[in-house]
Amino acid sequence: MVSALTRYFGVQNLELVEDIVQEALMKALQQWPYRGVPENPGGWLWQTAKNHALDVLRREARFQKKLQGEIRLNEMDQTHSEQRRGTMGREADAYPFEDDQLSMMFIGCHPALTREMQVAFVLNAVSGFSAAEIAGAFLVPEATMAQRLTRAKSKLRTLGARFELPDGGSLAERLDAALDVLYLLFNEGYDAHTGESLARQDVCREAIYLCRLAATHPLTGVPRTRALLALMLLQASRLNARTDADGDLVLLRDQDRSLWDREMIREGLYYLGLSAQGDALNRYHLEAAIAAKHAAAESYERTDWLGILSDYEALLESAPSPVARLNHAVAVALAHGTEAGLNELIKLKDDASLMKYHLLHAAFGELYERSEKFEQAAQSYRAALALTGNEAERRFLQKKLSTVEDRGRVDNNTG
Amino acid sequence: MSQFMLFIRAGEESSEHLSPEQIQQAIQRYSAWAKKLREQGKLIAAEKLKDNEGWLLSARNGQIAVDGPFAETKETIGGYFIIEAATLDEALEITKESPALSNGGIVELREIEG
Repeated sequence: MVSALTRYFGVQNLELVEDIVQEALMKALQQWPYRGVPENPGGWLWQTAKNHALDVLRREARFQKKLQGEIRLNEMDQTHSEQRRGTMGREADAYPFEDDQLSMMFIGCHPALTREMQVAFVLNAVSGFSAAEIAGAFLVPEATMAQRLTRAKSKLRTLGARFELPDGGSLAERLDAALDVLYLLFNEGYDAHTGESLARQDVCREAIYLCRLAATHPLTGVPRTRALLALMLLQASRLNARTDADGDLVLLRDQDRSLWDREMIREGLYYLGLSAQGDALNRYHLEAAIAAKHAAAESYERTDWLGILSDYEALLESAPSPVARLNHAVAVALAHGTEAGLNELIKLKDDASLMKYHLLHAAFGELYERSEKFEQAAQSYRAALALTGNEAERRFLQKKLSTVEDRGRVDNNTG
Repeated sequence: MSQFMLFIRAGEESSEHLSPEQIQQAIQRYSAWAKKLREQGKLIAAEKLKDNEGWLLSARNGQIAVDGPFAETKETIGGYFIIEAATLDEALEITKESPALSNGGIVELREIEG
């Protein structure tokens, strides 16, 4: 609803709109328990928010173009009833996006904002998470997040960002930024660097929800959007199997595959199929293809590792990144054996950013452990432990470390 | 069957700092409780009273004194429910499930003289 009202009041009044929506919700909280939930809750909220907005308009001189504002409110009423009847009025030409949330997301992905601001803005203004909740999910102090949001909003205000979508080439550019933001959101929820898991699953779900909006919209539902949606769904299908009852991490190899969400996998594969239209291939396609091969495998051993390796090779070519290099090396180990994998991993030691990434050291630990080089394995696990703050990951690495230390001792005693 | 009246007092916890998400969750909790009662035919009446408007009237020496309006305080009655229950125990059980309690509110339960 914030998005819908912002369309009419403009981004410069975003804070006002947020207050109004908050007020309407508070009113619902007070009345619905007593009177019952109205037949059309959305319509009730809309009416309440709109009436309140009118009050504010009449009372405050802050709107210089007061009259114009009222005209816009009348239009708003019209459009809303048109929408309710399910017809598309001429309004549809002026606002190419039926979905206000989608438009709001595109405003938030304005190139003048930093990526951090974009992510925070989308969660706040589009999805309705509070600064405190977002701060919790991203592990920054609440004050920092509040300030980040304020800066983002004031920047959009001074830019005079309009609730209109860029067209043609700039739409494509903005879409790339939006997909990036969604993927970041998703990973933030999926990888859970630390802290409460609940809030993070919300972030994951929200990213999927927004991506589905974009993927099913005629203007933004291009192959790469669908590929990203496929990727998210295929990854998220494993969420329930990724932690055990104690909240400990369960590796792909050890997951109970019956816990995977078949419905999500089915939908993911469907969108992956749709994403194959057209001839542009990007990283989302490749990553989704990898996720699909995992989803299709009966067991870890019977996974199409050679196919996955060739996807990673393509990924390294089209979108090289340190993490892609690491994943590629691990895939080499699975496709061609531990030794080959170790040789690949060693090549990565020249990458300073990877050396600070705990999963590189964890991968070393794993491969050394498999080659029964327990001393080196222990060293690697210790290095990984020193680099991660995630509780579940720490417990996992601690367990691995104890195992290789024990096995190392047994080796020394018998040998 | 007896009738009981539940006076809802908001309590000290303000709901103003809640995010839209949290408000929606609270609405769902609250409405589910009232809906269940309504469906069981146990809800006779319920009204929300307006905030920020309370007057105290009293008669002293034949003169009526009017105090107010009083601003919303935690002691103010924010609304009421009239429910029907077979016994006081049943009424107590229903009241204990009221989401007003989980929001830091105070509920006063009184049986209506029948």
